[in-house]
Amino acid sequence: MAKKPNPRIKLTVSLTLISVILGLMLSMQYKNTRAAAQFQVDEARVYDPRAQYTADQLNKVKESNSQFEAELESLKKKMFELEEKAGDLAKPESPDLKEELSKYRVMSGILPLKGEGITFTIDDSTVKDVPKGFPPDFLIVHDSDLMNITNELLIAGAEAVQINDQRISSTTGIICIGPVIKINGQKINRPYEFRAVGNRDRLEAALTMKNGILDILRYRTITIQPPKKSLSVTINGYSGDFNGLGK
Amino acid sequence: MIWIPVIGLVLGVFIGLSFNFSIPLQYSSYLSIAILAALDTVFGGIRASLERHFDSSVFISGFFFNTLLAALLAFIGVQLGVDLYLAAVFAFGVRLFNNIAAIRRLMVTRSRKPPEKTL
Repeated sequence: MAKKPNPRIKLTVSLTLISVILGLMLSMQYKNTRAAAQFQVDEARVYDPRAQYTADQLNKVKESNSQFEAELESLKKKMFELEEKAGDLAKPESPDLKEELSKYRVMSGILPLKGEGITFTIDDSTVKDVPKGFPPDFLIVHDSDLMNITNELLIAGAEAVQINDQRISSTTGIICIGPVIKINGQKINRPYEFRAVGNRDRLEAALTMKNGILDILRYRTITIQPPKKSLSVTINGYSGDFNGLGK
Repeated sequence: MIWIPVIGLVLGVFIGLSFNFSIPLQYSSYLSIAILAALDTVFGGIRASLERHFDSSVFISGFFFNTLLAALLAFIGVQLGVDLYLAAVFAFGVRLFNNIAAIRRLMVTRSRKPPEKTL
């Protein structure tokens, strides 16, 4: 150090050089910190664009769903009011008309119903080890089973049939869509609870007759809770439209 | 004369802020540890100059070596899953305080005496 003629200049030069570099690093780090904070804010906002999109869609559907439900409710109310009015206006014929009307409403399925009938539940088989050669598709409840049971009930004189929360109406379709079954365009899951209003003895007899529908299911090891006769079975009104015909 | 390094520091900050040049965000932690090393070296240099055994080649080589070593240590720590940068933070932090304390002490003693040959 003492060898050099002017150590102070050298000191200043090197210190200045290092200072410039240090300043550069400091400012770059400052910018980086700012950018990182901004990045975190951005990330929190668009956490996952796809999830965000799906959530938005779901919200939209929910909103429109509740709107439609409210609309349905108000329309129903209106309809009942109008019917009341119609009954009042046509005084002489009104008892007949009302009876006719309620008959058609029962037939179409839009009227909630309560009366004597039966309820029972069927579900997939719970048997673990089936004999060899036993077809595996015997073990689960299919759409065709629901159709057969519904037919059986209707043939036996059921006025109204409901599977889970779906009323069987004049335009109801029952179809298998993979793991679930679609009724009235709504997916329903196992177990399948049947409710039928009608003459309870006849309904029960139709189901439990020898080699009848329940015997066939029992042979397939399907889980069956046997039909219970009841004096008051309640059944929903059908809430869909009639394939574009309206209500 | 003492103000020239300060002006240099301001100049460096100005250059860094005004030019749109930055290192990738994921190397930010290495830069921060390097800054700590650089700060330590600068204060060490100031202290050495006050104690009159400043050597510019030691100073400059120390600056770059310490900076790179600190960043390298942090990098190895990341690879091994050990927070090795803490060692650098600790070591440089302690030294930084020591250096600043020494500078303060020198300044105080010098201000008491009649100023002789200061920097």
